Amino acid sequence: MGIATRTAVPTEPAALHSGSPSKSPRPPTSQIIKPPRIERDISYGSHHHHQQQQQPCNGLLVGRLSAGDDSTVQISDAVPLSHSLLGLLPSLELALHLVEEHFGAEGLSVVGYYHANERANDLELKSVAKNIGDHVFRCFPRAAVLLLDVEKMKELPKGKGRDPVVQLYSRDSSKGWRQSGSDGTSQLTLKEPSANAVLLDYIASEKWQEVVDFDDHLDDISKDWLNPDLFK
Amino acid sequence: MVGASEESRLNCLEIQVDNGGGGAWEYLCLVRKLKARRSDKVLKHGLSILNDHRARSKLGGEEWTLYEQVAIAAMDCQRVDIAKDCIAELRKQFPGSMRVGRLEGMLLEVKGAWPEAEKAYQRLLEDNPLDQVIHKRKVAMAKAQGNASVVVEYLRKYLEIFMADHDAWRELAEIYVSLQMYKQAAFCYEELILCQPLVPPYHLAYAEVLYTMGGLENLQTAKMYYASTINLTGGKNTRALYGVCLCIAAINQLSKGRNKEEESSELQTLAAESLVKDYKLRAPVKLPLLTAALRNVKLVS
Repeated sequence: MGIATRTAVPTEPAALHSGSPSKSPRPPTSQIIKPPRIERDISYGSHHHHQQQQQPCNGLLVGRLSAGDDSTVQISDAVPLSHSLLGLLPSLELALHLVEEHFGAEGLSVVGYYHANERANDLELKSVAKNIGDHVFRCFPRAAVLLLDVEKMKELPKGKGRDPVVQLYSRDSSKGWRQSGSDGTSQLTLKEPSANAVLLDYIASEKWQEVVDFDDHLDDISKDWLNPDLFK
Repeated sequence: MVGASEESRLNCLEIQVDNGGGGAWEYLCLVRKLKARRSDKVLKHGLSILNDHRARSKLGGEEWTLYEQVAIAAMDCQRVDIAKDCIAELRKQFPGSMRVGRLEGMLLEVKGAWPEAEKAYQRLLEDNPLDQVIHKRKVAMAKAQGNASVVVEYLRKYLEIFMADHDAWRELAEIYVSLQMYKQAAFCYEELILCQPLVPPYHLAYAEVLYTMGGLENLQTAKMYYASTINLTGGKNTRALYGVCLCIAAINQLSKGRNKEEESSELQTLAAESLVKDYKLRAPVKLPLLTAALRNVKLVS
């Protein structure tokens, strides 16, 4: 099936050396011990959520391993995916195909996944999100999942806190998704210190009304999921 | 569901009302008719009519409909105070009304008083066990509390009584999808296709669920339902065109080595050509991406 077998990064050292290739590729252990530090611009995901505030929504994170520092994953862009029936495979596979194809030309690939739950006070990473995270993980073993933290987003207007308004999850050695941060394993850092202020500004000017996701594109292909004019 | 032409009319009217061009009552009526959820606007414009004595008396009996509409919008916007006032007016006018009773139940919901709301609905159901709205409120309440198993239980009970409610079947299907219970979701879509065999979205959703389940047999059925979606929409549905390509690629990969016969290459060619034609016309920027992706799928197959 399409993307399940397509790997952007060679991820299966076991298959190269031994005769028994395991079905789910696993990264070399050193990468699990030394989890990624992530830099990104948060505004995309939270915008997407704002637009779809009565629905769950999600998207893909695009980036690359940091040059010169293998332990850092840089997230440079995001592609909003869907705001309905997140649990269905066809549009996800399709989006992964097209996004890899587009960003591959720029030396970037899909490095993670973001998710916002339907209910604002729900901070649990649902199994659908975990499974989609697994899907991305198969292509990029340092994949991260970000979950929108609405409580933190509500704090934004008070001007406090430079923390990102998302929670970072990474895959642990037992193949589960674990929230990072408190134990100091992985960290999420924002490249732009003013990111939250910018985000707040975008929320105030209702930028989220204009976000086009992959779902919208499939309904009307003249709408571009790259949102080229959104932040102009 | 709101059609495109009706939605654009609603948007036009909304801009007009927002800019003080009048037509607020007309706008509120349209929102009601289309069952649109624009609570912030409804609250703002509805309230300004209610506060204007002359405008309100012009409505005659419709005044009470507006009170109800504003009360619901206020609850959606967490303005408990306004909702309370509206409901109090309605209660004065219609003592002992079931419909007002529902609003009072909803008010308890907004306050998060779940057990009290549950009790209020239960009392109303004793008088009228077949009140659809109250049954639906109970489902919505479970949903608001994030209690998926209770949502499923209530919806199934509801569907035992109101079997012909398509929206409820669709809701149940979507909840099953979110719980990744695809077999059960497929069952719901089968029901919907049986009831309304000519509605393309049901064919499409059924195909997508089957594709997600995977396996040769499901993929083959999925392909058929994608094809019927194309048939019913006159080839206008992009998802179905992509779906056919995905199915055929997946089927070819699964049956690779087992039989030499290529899976319906004509259908694949037609679907791919149709996609290329659409993109050329309406999204030429994305055309290279599409052709590259299609080539990839063929490489996989």
